[in-house]
Amino acid sequence: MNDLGPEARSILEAARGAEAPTRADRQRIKHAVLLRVATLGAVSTTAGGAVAMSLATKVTVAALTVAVLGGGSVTLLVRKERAAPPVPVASARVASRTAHVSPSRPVAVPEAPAVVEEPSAKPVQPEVRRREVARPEVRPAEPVSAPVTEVTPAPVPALNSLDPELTVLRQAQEDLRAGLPAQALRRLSEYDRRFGKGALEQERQALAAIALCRVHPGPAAQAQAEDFLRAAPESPLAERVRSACKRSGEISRKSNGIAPGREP
Amino acid sequence: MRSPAGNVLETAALSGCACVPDFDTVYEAQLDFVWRTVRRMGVRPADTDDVVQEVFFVVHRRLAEFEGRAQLKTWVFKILVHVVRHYWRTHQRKPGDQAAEDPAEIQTLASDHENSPSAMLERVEALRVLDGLLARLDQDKREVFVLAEIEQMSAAEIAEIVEANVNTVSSRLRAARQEFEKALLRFRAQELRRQP
Repeated sequence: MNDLGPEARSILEAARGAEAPTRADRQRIKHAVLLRVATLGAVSTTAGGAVAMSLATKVTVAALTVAVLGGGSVTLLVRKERAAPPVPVASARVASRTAHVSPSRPVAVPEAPAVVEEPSAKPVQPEVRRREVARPEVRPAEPVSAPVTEVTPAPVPALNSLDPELTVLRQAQEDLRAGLPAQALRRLSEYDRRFGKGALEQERQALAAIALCRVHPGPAAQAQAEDFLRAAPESPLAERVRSACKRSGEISRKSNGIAPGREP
Repeated sequence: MRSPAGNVLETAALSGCACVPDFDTVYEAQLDFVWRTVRRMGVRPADTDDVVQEVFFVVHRRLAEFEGRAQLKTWVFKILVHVVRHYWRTHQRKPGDQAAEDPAEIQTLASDHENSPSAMLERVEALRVLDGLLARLDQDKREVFVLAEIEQMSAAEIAEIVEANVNTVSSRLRAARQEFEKALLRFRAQELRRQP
């Protein structure tokens, strides 16, 4: 093969390793991926998928909505999972086994859009099915009196039911990231119109406060931020709201004749 | 530079270990490489996040299928190539259609990773020139060139990733190098003409 000349080599050498994602990039992308996994139900799409996902990741998937959208969602997801309808089991033993098996069972959920693979060129390896059978992720510790397939509740639909709300909030979040707070506010109004006090209302409030503080920092924005902070002081989004609305607070205090730094 | 996590994974792959690495480990080991390659494959900086996310979303979905027969990096890169090809299709643009990337965007990306202003300028300039030259290669040649010259993969590894035989890869690489050199000469000639 022809070799490259010294200048071409020098350009390639200088460019090699010049770009790497920042820490913020790493976290942002990972959160986005895991949020998508959670919302599209890919967690349970294959039995093996659950094997490959570490416990930490499973926790992260649940906690993602916190990281990306807000604190109430974790509570929400956990609550919905606990509120799943009772399992129609034949015996207590079956119920016990089900509790172990269900997280890794295939669940009929919408698959992610097939944007990647071309039919003839999938990066799939031929023995996939065999491996899935050969490596069951749950070892039966005791005899089971009914087929597992008949007894498994699927928590994922609870996640799917949040998709429309999550989509609007994610878009608003992206608008904020892109420096388009007014557009984010418009989307959040759309959320109000479509979902009223939706399941992710707390997250909507936080994003609305952040957007408002960026568009019109002042007393109105500050009031919105304070409403949210009063309602959800422990939310992981609270710090972001405080930070985004710091200037609003200062403007608000000035307009009330209070020196900056002094709380009323 | 390969991370310790990457070493562990590659060792496992080479030893034929059937263990499936968990997503966190794969993500940490492969993100730098995926990010860098997505950029060099002609994805606009503004779209880098989305494309990298798509790659890791597919990785997450298919991780259980990873057999340890191929190197993890090769497996991830196959996914990456499909995602980037889809990106080109949906954006109706080919790498060869575009001019050099926006230098401001390149500078933004490079500036986080540089220590001194002079080193930064040198690398920003290198990235600007490199992306301009890569943009003149067609999709097939660009893939092969990036893998060989930037990621320093062997012809056999590249053949597996782009699903072509080794002779085809060698032929594409030879042509890509020639075109790259010619484009570099043209670029320098234009620069000379622009100088007062």
